Amino acid sequence: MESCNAPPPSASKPGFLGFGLGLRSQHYNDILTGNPAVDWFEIISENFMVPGGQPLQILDQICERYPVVMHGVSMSIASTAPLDFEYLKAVRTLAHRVRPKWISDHLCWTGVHGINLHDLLPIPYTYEALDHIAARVHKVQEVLGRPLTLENVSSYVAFAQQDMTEWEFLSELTRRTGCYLLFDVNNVYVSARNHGFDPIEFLNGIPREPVVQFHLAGHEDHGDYVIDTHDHDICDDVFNLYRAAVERFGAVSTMIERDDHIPPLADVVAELDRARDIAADVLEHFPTKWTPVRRRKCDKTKS
Amino acid sequence: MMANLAALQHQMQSVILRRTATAQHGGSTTSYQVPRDDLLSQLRPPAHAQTDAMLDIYCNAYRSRLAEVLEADLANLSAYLGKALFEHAAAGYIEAHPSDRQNVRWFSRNMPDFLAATAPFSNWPQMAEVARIELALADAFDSANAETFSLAMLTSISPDDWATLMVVPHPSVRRIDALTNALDIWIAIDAGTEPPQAKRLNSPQHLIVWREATTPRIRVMSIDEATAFDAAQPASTFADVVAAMTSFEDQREAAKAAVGFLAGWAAAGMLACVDTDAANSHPKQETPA
Repeated sequence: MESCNAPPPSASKPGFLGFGLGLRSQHYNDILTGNPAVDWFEIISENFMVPGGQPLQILDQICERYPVVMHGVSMSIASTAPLDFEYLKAVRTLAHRVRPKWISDHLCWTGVHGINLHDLLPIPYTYEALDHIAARVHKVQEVLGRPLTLENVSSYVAFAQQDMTEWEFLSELTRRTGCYLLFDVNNVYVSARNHGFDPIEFLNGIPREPVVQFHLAGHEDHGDYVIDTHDHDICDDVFNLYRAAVERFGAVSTMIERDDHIPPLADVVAELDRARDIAADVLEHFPTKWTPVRRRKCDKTKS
Repeated sequence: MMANLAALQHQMQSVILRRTATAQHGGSTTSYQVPRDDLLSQLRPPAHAQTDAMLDIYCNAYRSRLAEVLEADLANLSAYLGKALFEHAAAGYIEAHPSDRQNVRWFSRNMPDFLAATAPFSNWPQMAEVARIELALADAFDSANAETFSLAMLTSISPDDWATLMVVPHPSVRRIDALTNALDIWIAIDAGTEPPQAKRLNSPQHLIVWREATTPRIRVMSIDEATAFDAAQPASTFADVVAAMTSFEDQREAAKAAVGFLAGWAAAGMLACVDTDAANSHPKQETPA
């Protein structure tokens, strides 16, 4: 069993950013000309890991106006293939440009033997996997010089022989490595439906301290199973689970991921306002230590 | 018995790729399908659906995701081929070229070579060339930044310095020699009009793709201009560019033509300033804003 419990590179836990959106090219113009009521943006890191041109120019403009976090899809932290240090250096180079509040990727693997399947593939929740992944998280945090933030993924298959639940695995990983968690509410919902566990049990099994971000998204409901497609509006069940998540974790930076059938920016902002209202409602009833949630002013100027 | 993590990942990837494996039996090699049942036996039954169907979600998503990438990167090629033929090309490409890059941005890059080498697409060489044009424009769009060598800079060069002037193409520049009327086809498709009948050209059409400010451009070059430009890649002195223009019997005429080409390239933003700090003649990076 992995014995290394070295702390991550020193960094204080990122604060509450408010309510954000995934930055999508369809919305560039409206964002840059309209100053929408969005508190921050999350970028897909790989979309900007390009040599130059307009994508990086636009990114620079967004970063001048809004707090930004980086969200990757290719770190493959759970792969048994060697860590790709060139990729990690490219992430670090982008981080120097963006100055993100945090850097996240997924608790998954994307390929082995030099092949990338460009999917977020599931892992068995075993001590073997935990030892392996914890060691890699330490290495990544050394390269990035900051704690990594890891997201729970949606899954469609689960492995018969496991040593622990997904939430126990995530908890132990954060304890061993000091990494943060991006708690994807929709992914918990999707996996709970597919595998038949109680999402509230998952939620209550995650420690409060490491959670720095929530994801909200839509999915495709096939009755017997659910697919995490990010191409629908967020359903009521996911918003209800979000309410429970805010009750447990408090004021956590929240954003909506929309990757396909992308509606106009105003529609996604309206959906974000629903999350804002839920959080405000919960925090009003549980006001002990959380930062008040305020609607972001539309006339934010550069800081 | 649960396979270890490495074996499990190998197994799952093989099932998703629908790869065959090979086994040695004495002196012979046998190919066999990686047993899907072996993986299925290690999976826990889902809440309501069939395990097999749930595993298929990964297999199908792998192909549909990469097909979407190809469709997005090669939208004009897709429009030219039509839905069925493009899907056929995409399916063949996905099986033949699994992604080997962390960033899916470069997944499509081998499609022109695939189309040129794989029947039935190889029977219609304009398809590979349309793909090559489309990907060159995409590459120009997000290629490296460099300080452009402007026409004003060119005109400020003193006559004594012309021979040693370094000619450095901008990093966004791509050169293509097309053997078909692929450019006319691409332009028609891009404009949403009926493409012309495909035809082989009597002589290659020399194309140059580059980025002007943030916009990718493409235009045709004469053989003399293309010869001069190719001599300048990746970097060359003006004197060497002129020396490469052997179709001119008189070097003074060649130099005169080269000056005209150079002025056109500089005006269009096809040239980069030289990084004098670098050991070799590299394009000078733009100073970040």
